Amino acid sequence: MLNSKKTLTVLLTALLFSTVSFSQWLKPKGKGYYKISAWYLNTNQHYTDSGDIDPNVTRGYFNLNFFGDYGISDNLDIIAYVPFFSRTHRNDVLSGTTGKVIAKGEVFNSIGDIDIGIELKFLKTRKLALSGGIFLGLPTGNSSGGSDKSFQTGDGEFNQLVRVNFGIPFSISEVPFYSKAYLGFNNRTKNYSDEFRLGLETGLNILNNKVWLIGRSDIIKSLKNGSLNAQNNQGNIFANNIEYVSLGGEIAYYISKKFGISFYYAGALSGRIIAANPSYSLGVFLDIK
Amino acid sequence: MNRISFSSLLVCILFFFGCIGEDIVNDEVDPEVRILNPVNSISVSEMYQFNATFFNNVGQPEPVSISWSSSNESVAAINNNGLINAISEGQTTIKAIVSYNSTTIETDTAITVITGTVDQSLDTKSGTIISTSGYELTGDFTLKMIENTNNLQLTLGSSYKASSSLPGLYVYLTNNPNTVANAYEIGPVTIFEGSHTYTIPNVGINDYSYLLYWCKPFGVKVGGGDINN
Repeated sequence: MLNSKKTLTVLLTALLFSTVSFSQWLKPKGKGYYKISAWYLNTNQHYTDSGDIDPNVTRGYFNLNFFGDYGISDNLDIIAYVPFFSRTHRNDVLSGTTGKVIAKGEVFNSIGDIDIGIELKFLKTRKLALSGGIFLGLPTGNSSGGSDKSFQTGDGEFNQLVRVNFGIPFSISEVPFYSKAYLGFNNRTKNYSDEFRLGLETGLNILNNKVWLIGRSDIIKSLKNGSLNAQNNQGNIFANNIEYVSLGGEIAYYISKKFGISFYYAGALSGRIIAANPSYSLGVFLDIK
Repeated sequence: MNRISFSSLLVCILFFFGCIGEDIVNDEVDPEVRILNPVNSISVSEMYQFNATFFNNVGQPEPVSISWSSSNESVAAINNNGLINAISEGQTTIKAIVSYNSTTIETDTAITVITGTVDQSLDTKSGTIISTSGYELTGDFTLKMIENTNNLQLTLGSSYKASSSLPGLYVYLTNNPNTVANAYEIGPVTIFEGSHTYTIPNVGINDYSYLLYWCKPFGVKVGGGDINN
């Protein structure tokens, strides 16, 4: 099975992070991969609409999320990403001259936007796997939280991501590797712009199948066909036309044949209207093979 | 994991990742004393009350003792309350002086005493907006008191243009371009190109020294311009 992703729409950020089951392909019938993760982003700078990096007051985004991938049949998986607790905060701003608080910080807690989807096997040979999926982004988060409505744990829109995945297994010096890629189109509603998505990933399995090392890059390109902007929304928008190229790395360690822990690090190499700081994710997983 | 240990784990996680920290901004500006109602001329035998405010090193009005002086007391004399008495035709320079943290801060304004009726034309101030961020922001502006009111009119010229990508872009009048603390919030920016106006109630033309564009959610200055005579 290929990656499942969830874009967390947080402030301007919406920095994508990925959760993954380390087997490359769809789950066999009755098998599954389940993971509980804590994800964190602390950001004091962002990419502007021109791609420059500007400072911003420090904001933190944290969530606890569940990811599950279950094989309904050998050819069909059901996938869910549930950020069951999302927390955003903004730092106090203090005068460097007087030491007094200029702007008081704030915290907002909510559930995040839930993704659910299915993935269907098209082809699987010893050298190639092809699959496709559709993922629905449910607006279960809060799109106007906090005193100034900027403490958002969701974008408030229902989106549909259609994705095609390609994967190949191979080995180098008897070390098992895989590489995979996906192409996707995300249809967004409520006047947000649609998006093209592209992802590349490669991983290797070492230490007698105990450790996965994975590198991953995601690219989001906005079609800029959504009319939502500050002009028609009383100056208050939440990050339409986000674009970025991110690079991340993950290490997963199987404590036993079924249980393991993973750590993921990702950051945007370039982007527009997105955080310019890295995010981190730490999780425990159950892999029923 | 039992309930207690899970709760403990959650508390620990929130402690490390969900707590409000502190950002410190450099908001120091040069302290300034400003005459809020300068005039170019007054008539012989007339009296006129000058008002001045001291703005401290964060641009905040601070009540302090202000002393006044006239460079030519045979033309006009001024008392310690800023009340000027025009005596004879001529020119003089009025100073407002503040002692602050062992330094003397002063400002002055030239005044002409004339015989006859004074033309009380309304002042106009202007400036140029420049971006101080990665976002597009440019244009010229003028400030003018609206006749027979206490309201100020801010006019952005036809060259004005601002990025519409920013969430929560607001415009302010301030005496400290580094912060919106103590600033006057005019309102959210909803026009991003071309000429337009804002009417600002109960604000004098000399009350503020800087037009500030500020992104509220990001908590940063986007740009702005000095308000010039």
